[in-house]
Amino acid sequence: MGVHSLWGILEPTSRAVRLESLSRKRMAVDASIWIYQFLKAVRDKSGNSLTSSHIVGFFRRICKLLYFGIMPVFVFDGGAPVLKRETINKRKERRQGKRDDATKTAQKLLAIQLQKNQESPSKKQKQNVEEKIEENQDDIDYKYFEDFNKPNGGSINQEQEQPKFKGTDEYDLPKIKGFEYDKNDQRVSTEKFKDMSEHLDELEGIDLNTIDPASNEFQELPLTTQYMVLSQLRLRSRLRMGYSKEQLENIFPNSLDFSKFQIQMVQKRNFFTQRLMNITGMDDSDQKTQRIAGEKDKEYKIHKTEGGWALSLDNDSGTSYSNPVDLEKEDRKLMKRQENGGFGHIGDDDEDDDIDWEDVDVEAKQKEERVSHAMASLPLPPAETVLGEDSSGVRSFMAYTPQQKNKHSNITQEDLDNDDDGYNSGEEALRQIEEIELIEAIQRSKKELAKEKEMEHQLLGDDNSNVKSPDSLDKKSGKALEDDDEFDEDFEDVPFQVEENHVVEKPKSPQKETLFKGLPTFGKTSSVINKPKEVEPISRKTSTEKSIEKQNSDEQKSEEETKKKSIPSVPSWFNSTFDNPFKNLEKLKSQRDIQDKPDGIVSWSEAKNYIESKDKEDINNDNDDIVEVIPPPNLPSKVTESKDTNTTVEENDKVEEINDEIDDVEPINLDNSEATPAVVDYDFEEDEEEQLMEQLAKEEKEHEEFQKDLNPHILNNFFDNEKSLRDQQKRDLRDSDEVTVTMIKEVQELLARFGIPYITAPMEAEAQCAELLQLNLVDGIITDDSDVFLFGGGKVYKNMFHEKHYVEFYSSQDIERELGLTRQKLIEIAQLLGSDYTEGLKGIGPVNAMEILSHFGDLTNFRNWFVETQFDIGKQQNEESFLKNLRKKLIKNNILLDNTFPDKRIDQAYLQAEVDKDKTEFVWGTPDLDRIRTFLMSSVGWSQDKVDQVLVPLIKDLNKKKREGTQSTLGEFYPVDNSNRKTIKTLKLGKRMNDASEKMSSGKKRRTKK
Amino acid sequence: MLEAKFDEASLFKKVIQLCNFNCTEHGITVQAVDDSRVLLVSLLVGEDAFSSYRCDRNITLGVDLASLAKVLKCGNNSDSLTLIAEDTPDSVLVVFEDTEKDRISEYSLKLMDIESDFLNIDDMDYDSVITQPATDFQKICRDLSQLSDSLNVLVTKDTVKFVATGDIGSGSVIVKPFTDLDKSENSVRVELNKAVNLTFGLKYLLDIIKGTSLSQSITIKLADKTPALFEFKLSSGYLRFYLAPKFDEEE
Repeated sequence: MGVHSLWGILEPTSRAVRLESLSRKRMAVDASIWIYQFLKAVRDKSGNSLTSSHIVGFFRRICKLLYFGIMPVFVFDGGAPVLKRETINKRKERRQGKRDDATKTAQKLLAIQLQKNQESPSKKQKQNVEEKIEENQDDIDYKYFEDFNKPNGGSINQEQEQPKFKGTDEYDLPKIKGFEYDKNDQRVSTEKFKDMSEHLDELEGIDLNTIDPASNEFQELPLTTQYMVLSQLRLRSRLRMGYSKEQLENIFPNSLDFSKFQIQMVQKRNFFTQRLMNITGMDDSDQKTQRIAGEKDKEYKIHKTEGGWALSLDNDSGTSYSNPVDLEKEDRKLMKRQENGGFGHIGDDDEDDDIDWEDVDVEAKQKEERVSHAMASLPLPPAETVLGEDSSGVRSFMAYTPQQKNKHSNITQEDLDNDDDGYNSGEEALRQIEEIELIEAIQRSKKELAKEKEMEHQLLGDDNSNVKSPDSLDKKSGKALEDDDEFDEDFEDVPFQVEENHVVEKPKSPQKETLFKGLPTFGKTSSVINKPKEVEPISRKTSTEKSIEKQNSDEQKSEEETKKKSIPSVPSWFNSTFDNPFKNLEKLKSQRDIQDKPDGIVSWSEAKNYIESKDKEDINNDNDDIVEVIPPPNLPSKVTESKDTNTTVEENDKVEEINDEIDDVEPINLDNSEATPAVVDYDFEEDEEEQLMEQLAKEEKEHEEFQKDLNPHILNNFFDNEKSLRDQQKRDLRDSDEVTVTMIKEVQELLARFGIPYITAPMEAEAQCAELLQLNLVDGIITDDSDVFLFGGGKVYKNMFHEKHYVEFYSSQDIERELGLTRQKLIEIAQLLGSDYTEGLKGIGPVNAMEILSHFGDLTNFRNWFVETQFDIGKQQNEESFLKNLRKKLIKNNILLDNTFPDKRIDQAYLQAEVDKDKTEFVWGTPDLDRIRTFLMSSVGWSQDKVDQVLVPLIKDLNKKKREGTQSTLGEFYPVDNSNRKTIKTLKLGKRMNDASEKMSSGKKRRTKK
Repeated sequence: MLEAKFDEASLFKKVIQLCNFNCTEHGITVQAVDDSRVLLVSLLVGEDAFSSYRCDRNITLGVDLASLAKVLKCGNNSDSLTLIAEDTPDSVLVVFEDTEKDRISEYSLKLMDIESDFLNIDDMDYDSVITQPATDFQKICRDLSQLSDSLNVLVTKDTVKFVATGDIGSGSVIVKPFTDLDKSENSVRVELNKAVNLTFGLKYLLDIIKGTSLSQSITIKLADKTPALFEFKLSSGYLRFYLAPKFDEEE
C-alpha cells in the first residue's frame, strides 16, 4: 500500500499528537486498509485468520475513536483504478519470477513447459503414478475404456482431431499432466497410444485452450478425442497445478485467495469429470450401450436418473440397457414399473408419486411405513430391491428421521469421497479433507435438527401450499415427469423448512440449475448417491454397482434435503432465536457444506448472502445468472429445450419469491435479535465464522467466474484453463487489495449502528479522504497509506491505534517545508520508489530517490540525463561521482529510461483521481447500544457481557459528554504559528537525505529562529 | 548572551513538562500547551522581575522542566539564581549564590529541541471579567471537583454561579461582587457585558489553581464559546492559562 518507503522519508517530520487533542475533530478514515490489516494481521496460532476479525477490529477502533471524541467518517474503496490493477499485476508477475507479462510470455513459457514435459518421460511416469493413486478404482474404467477404443482409437483420432485442432493455434498449453498411461499396463497398446498421445500433446499444445467442450463441434469429435481432451483439461484443473507449496504461497499470499482458487478448480474438475462421464458413456442417454468398464460378467454403467447420476454394476442389463432413461414420460413410467415390479410395489408411477408426496407431508404414519420399507430395502444388496423402493418412501424416510438422515448424509459425504475417487479419478487430498470437514459439519448439525423438526411440523401446512404453486407451474409447462420428481423433492423438503417456505424454494432453484446445467454438481450429486444405505466401506462398491436410478434420485434428494436442512438454520443463526451454542457453527458448517457442492449451491448461498445484505439488485443479477446458465450448449442431453425455458421461468419466479421474502426476513431478524441469547462457544465459532467469510468471498468469485465460463458468447474462454487460471490469479491478487462485499457490508452495518457516517469512494479511498479534507468536510485523515499525500491529503494521522495516547501526525506543510517535497515531488518520488500506480525503478531507494530529485529537479531531467549520456562514454567519465554511481546502479538493475518514463498517467492518476466532490456535511448520530450489542452478538458471537464490557462504559462516556459537553481544544480558536518550528537541521535525517532535502527546499525554507 | 537573575528560585512552578523559554530583551516568556491541546500556559516574567537582566538576542531555551526542577531544588530559597546561556546554547547554566555565605553553586542543564506549536493568541474582548481572591477560586474548584469532572460557570448580572453536577449529586457556589476596602485583594469584582454560560473540565482547573501561590487574586475572563483566560498577576509579568471550554454536542 502506498508509496514504498515513503513513510521512511516522511517520518522525521512526524509529530506525536495526543489523541485527546483530536477531540471533536472530524476525521476521514481510510477504512479499506483496515479490513486488510485485520485480515492479514489477525491470525490465530495455526495461522488462520480469526473470526470476523474485521468486525472486532472495527469495533475496537471505533470505540477508541469515539472515546477520544473524534468524529470519524469512514471511507471505503470503490474500485481499483486501471493503473493500480496493472501495477499490481505486474508486480505479482515479477514476484513469481519468470513472467514479465502474461500476455507476452505466456505462450513461450507454456511451450517450454510443454517441451519439458515431453522430454522427460520419467516425469510423465511419475505423474502417471500420481494419477493412478488418485484415481483409484477409476483406473480400471480408465484403462478399460482405452482398451475399448484401442482398435480404432489412434487413427481415427488423429484424423478427426486435425481439422478441429488446426484452426486455432494461438494459445499454448501448459504442462500436460494427464492422459498418460502406465506403460506397463498391458491393456493399453503402449506403442500406438504413445504415438497418439504425443501427437495429441502437440496438437493440444495449440488446441486445448480453444476447445469448448460445450460446443456442438466438440461433441462431434470421436469419443476418444473428447475423452482425451477432457481428461487432460480435468487433470490440468487439479488444484496445485504442479506448483510446490512454497510457490503456491507466493502466488497466493492470502490463504483466502488460495481457497477460492481451490474451490474453483474443484468446480472445474467436476465439470470435466461430468463431461468425461458423458463421453465415456456413463451417461446412457447418448450411448446406451456404452460401457465404462467392465469385467467379464459385469458392466459398469452410469445411469442418468431424473435426479442425478448413478453408477451401477448390473448383471441384468435389461433394466438400464433396454430402458434407457429418457425424457419421455412413457419411458420413465415403464422403467418405474419395472422397478416397482422388482420390489413388489404396485402402481408407483408418477401420479402415485404426486399423491405420495402430498401424503407424506400430511400423514406421518404412512411415511413411517414407507420408511420402514426403505430401511428394509436399504441393506439389501440386490439392485432390484433398492430399485423397487418407492422413491417418495425413501424420501419421507429421509425427511422424518432427521437424525438418521444426518447419518445418511454423513455416509453420503464419505461416499462423495469414495465415489469421487472412482468417478472423478482425479480427486485430490485437499478436496478430501474438505469433504471430511463436511462430514463433521453434518454431524454437528444433527443437534439442531431435532429442534427444527418440531417447528417444521407446525409449518407443514403452509409449506405445502407454498410448494404447490410452483408445482402447478411446472405442470403447466408440461415437463411432467421430471418436474414432478423435482417437486416431489421439494415437497419432501418442505418438512425441513423451518420458518420460511421460501427458504426451501431457494435451495431448489440452485439444484435445478445444476441439474439442467449438467455441471459438476451433477456428477457430484450422483456420486453421492450410492452410499447412504451402505454402512460398511467394503460393501460400498457392491452397492455402487447395484444402485439404480431410483436410488440415485432418492439420494440426491436426500442430499438436497441435507442442504435444505442446513438452510433453516440460516434465519435462526441470524436471529439467534435458538439457544443452541452450536447454532452458529452449524450454520456455518452447513453453509460450507452447501458451498462445497458445486455451482448450483453456490448460487443459493449467494442468494442467502444477498439476502443478508439486503441487496435486492444482486438477487436480480443472480436471477440473470441463472437464466444465462441454462442455455449453454453443453447441457447434458437430458435437458430439453422446453425444460430450459420452463426452468427459467421457475427460476425467475423463485427469485421473485426470494425477493419478496427478503422483506419478510429482515424485519423478523431484527425483531428477534433483541431476544438473542448469549452465544457460548466463542472461540470455536470464531473459526467457523471466518470460514464463512472466506466462503462468501469465494462464492462471489466463483459465481463471477462461473458466469463468465458459461456465457455462450465467449466460446473459447471456458476451456482455456491456463488463461482462466492466470486470470484467476490476477483477480485474486486484485482481490487481495479489495475487500469482499460482505465484509464491507458488515462493517458498514456496524458503523450504521454506531451512527457513524461512511461513504464509498468512486475509486480509491485515500483519494476520497484527501478530497474530503480539501472540501473541508473533515479536519484530518486517518490512514496508514502514504498515497494520501500524493492525492493531496494534508493532515494525516498515522498509526492511530498503535499507541495508547499518541498518534503520528504528518502535514503536507511540514513535509514541504522540511523536506522540500511538494505534492508533485512526492508523485515523482513515487515513480522512483514504486507505488500502487507504478512499479518504480528497481534498486532505487528512498535516499537515491531524494538525491535524484534534488539533483535533477524533476524526473524529465533525470531521464534526459540518462538518455543523453547513455552512449557517450566521454561524458560519462566527466560526471561527478554521484551520477556515476547512479548510472552504475541503474545499469545493474537493467533499468532503461525512455520517453515514457515519467509516466504522465501516474501524475494524472494522483492529481485527478476520481473522487466524489459532494459537499454535503456529514452528520453523526448516536451509537445505538442495543443494536450494536445485537450485531456483535450475532455476527461475532460475543456474549452480552463481552460486548457490554467495552460498549457500556463507552456509551456512558458519550452520554456524559453529551450532557456536560465535549472538551474543545485550543487549536480550534487559536491558529498555530509555525514560524517558530524547528528547521530541518534538527530533524534526524541521514546526511545524504539531509543534503538532498536541503537542496530541494533551499530558498523556500531557511526561515530560522528569530 | 543571557543573564537573568532571579531573587527567588521558587518562582518556577512545574505546570508543564517541557517548554521553551523564549528570552527576549523584555523578559522571559514561556508558552506551552498541554498534550491534549486544551490548556495553554503563558508565562511572562518581565525584565523587572530580575534583579539584573540582560538579553542581547532573542534565544529559545528548550527546557525539560523536570530536570530544571531538580536543579532548582539544589538551591535554597534565599539564594539568588542566575541563568546564563550563550547565543546558540546547548545548555543553560544555573548559578546559585548564597548571599550570606559566599557559596556559589553552578549547574549546567542540557537543553533540548522541543517541538511545540506556538499558538497566536490575540487579545480579545471578553464578555465578562471576574476578579476574585485566588484562594477562593482554588477552594471552589477543589470542592466542586469532588462531585464532577466538569464545572459549569454561569455569569449573570452581578452573580457568578459555579455548578457541578455528577453522579453523587450536585453542588454550586455562588459568588457575588464584594468590596473589601481594607484589603483590596479580597474584593470580588464582576464586570459583565453579556451573560455567559461555559463548562470547563475540572481536571484542567485543578492544574490552573496550582498557580494560586503566585498571586493574591485571579482574574477570569470569559466569553461565550471561546477559551477562558485565567490570569495570575505577577509582580512583573503574568501567568496566564487559556482553557478551552467543553461544548455541548449540539451547538
